[in-house]
Amino acid sequence: MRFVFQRLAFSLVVLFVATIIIFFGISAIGDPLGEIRSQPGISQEALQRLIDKKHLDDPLIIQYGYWLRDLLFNQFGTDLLFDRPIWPELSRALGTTLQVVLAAEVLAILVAVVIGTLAARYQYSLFDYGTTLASFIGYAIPVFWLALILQILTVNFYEATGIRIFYISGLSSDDAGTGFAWLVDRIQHLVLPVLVLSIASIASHSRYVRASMLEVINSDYVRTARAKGVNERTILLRHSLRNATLPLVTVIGVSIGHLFNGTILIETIFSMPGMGLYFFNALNTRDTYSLMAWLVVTSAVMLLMNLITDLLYGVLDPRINK
Amino acid sequence: MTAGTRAEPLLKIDNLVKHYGVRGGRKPAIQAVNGISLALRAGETLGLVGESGCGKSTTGRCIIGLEQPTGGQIVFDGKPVEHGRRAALTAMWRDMQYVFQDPFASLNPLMTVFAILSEPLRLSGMKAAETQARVAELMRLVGLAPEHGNRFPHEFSGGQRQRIGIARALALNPKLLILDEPVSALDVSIQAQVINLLEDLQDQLGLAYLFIAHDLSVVSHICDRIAVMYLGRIVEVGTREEIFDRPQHPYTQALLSAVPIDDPDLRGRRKRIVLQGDPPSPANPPSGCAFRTRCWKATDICAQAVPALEPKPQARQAVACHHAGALTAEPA
Amino acid sequence: MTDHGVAAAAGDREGLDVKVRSQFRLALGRFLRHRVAMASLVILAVIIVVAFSAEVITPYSFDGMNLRAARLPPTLEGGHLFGTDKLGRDYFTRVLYGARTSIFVALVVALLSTLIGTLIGATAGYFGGWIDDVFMRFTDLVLILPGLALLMILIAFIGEGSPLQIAIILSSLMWTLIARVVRAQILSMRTREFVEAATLSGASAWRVIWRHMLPNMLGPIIVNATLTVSSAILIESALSFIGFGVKPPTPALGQLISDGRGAMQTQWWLVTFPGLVIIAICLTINFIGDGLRDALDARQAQRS
Repeated sequence: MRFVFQRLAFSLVVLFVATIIIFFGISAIGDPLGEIRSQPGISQEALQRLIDKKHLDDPLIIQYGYWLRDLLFNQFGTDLLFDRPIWPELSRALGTTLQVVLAAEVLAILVAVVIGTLAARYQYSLFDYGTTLASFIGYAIPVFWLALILQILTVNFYEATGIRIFYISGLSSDDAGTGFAWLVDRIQHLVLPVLVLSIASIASHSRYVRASMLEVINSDYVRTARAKGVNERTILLRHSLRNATLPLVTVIGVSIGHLFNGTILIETIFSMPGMGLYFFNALNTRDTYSLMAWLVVTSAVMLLMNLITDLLYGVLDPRINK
Repeated sequence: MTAGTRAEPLLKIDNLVKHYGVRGGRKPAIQAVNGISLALRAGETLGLVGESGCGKSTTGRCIIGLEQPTGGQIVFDGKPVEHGRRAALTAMWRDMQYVFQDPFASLNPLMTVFAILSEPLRLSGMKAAETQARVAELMRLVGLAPEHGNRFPHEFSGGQRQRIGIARALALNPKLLILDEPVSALDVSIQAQVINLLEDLQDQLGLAYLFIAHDLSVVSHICDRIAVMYLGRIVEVGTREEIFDRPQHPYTQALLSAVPIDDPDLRGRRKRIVLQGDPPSPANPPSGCAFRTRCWKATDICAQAVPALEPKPQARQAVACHHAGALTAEPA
Repeated sequence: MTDHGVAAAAGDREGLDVKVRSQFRLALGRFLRHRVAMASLVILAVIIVVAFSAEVITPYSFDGMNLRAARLPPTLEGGHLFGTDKLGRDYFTRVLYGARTSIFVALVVALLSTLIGTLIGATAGYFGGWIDDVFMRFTDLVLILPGLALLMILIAFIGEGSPLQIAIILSSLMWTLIARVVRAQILSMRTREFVEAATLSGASAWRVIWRHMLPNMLGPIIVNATLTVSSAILIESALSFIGFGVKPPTPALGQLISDGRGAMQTQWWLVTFPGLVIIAICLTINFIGDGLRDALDARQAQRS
């Protein structure tokens, strides 16, 4: 338990340092008022109001203090253009993105474990070579391109058969209904984005599982079980699986980071109102406050993921349990 | 004034201490070397013998400067070894060199033998032509053909690689060579060849050796004096005859009992001493005499007081034992 | 001086006139035998040559409009291998020029990242201390923030869109991978005996790093540099797709995809071909990297 608190405290410290870097970094390269000043017809008073509100006349360190206070107590402050509180929209975006990202990661893990295990079990078979080739291709496919291609195919499918199998934009339909129908509709909307995001992760995770599983299958203790007459299936499921998949936990954190990168790309393609779209809009309007809030939330999510996977690993690996 | 005459020892070690992981924290420090004092004269071979983990390699590394001692002083050729100052160390390395244990890892696999041997020469300012002659000379000195200078280490056998390592150590004409288990990684038949080579070189060049080993039989030939180490301390030090013929410390006696006897007629006469228990950890050495947990002579005083390394009345060598004495009674 | 051991040694080698086969030769041999990697090398070479000699290969120019030939699908005979876009520009030519930009950016990124990463990683690994601490903390933070977002921010605020500048900005974040690899290698090599022996021979820290350590870790460095190229291509095309990359009129594959997106239902070739080229380049590079890894790994563990 003490370990948990230690790690939590450490993560908070890192998050704090991250806020400092984010604030001073963005302030260094971006003038918050740059975009606004360049807009025609903006009055001096409006400009001055903004300066007062964001304390832009004060030294940076004071600004940092105000910003941090807004972050913690004031719904992350307000955005630059419309002076709306940041947190409500940001949190909604976060919720949307998390659905996609977590679903993608879970899918990737499940598929990768199956593929990797089978590839290891039937090493050098056609399946093994085939999935290896597929992994290489998966690494090489640009995420945004795949999204577009799948959109094209889905629409073609619809035009050919009249069936809306998946949706190519949005999170839900307007007439989705309630309960089960709503769930199905949501899933139909999520399939394409989740699929596209998960391809690269499936490629890398399955290679990882395969390598890990090969090590385990050829290890001495498994050889002993085999020599004792235990059948191959039990060896696979009971003895090998847990040991081979445990290392995967350590990679989840990094993988989710990549998925966040991916969402920036595909949310504009799939018109999903998530973190990606939020970031994109904030950047296009050079809204430094929204950007900083976005960075802080993303870092916090990443730190949380790392923390969870660290703790999870500590729980699952009996060597670490003290 | 240079040391190394009959009067002044070439190398003098005074209460050398090396602890790893010394911190205020919870983890106990590993007491690798716990107060070692030795002296080595010019042209002499001193053997430093002990089991794995006793601190003999660490001692060697502290002397040459690859490690920083935690305490104590090392004086070489009249000058103290300044571990913090790189320039002082570099100057010292012209007179003191080191031969590594692993012939496979001690040579850069991507450099030719010529490049390996010429490196210390060129770095000391020798010109190219002179270097070439000297490298050929060094190779001949250790029994290798100079024509093979443009080969890579992996094209040589283990024994040959060790010779290259010795040649490299001799490049700048040192006075002292520290040899860290130089033959332990070699086949037994090759070991003898390399040891013979070392003896010849000593005669030719007047070198002093600090010969670190874990096997007493290896040092029996080449060493003038032998120091036996256990868990970071020296338990006995004396001449070759004193140690082999009249060992006083129980640990030395146990080590000797494991040395293979080559004359079949003499076998079976000697009682084989098998030490009980596991070797203690250097992170948590026993109080008093470190050997007491495996010693058949141990009594209360052994747990209370660290025995001093001093000559005992019945023998001339220095022993660190409360119950030092020749092997008479049957060990339990 | 008696000849210890030379006679014995002659017996366990294959004869005194064995040709000196350097490690490099052995690695080269292994690579050449790796069929997939060799095939990929050939294909990649073809792609690069074709892309950089577009002026010679196609009769069209990059932005030559021909409204009468607009929106044509790909045809094998006749002029347009990849079809035309809505302004009648030959798409094959446009894709070639786009590939040229992407390849250029990727190569520069790999070069810069390798140089910077090796320098910083070696310094952090060898000298340790506060340099290492700062480095590790920096890479930790970089891992927490999404890289693409950071790149986009940098490009948005200080970018002018030239391929060289884009490459520099990408390198400023992508060097961390190689730096970590180099640092890990240096740490493990610091206690290798031949490195310590070099120090004892009087070698300075930089000589030890440059002459002894780096040559022995070329394998991982080269492999990671190769992988950096393919990462860079993907990132560059993603950036130019969303408009934060190379600015028009400089052509880029991602940009082509983005431009063609509006009409992609009917003119599928506008989106498909640039993507296929990206995939082809990345795939071949990854296979080459894999072949290099196999060829060079065994070399690291060369023993005899």
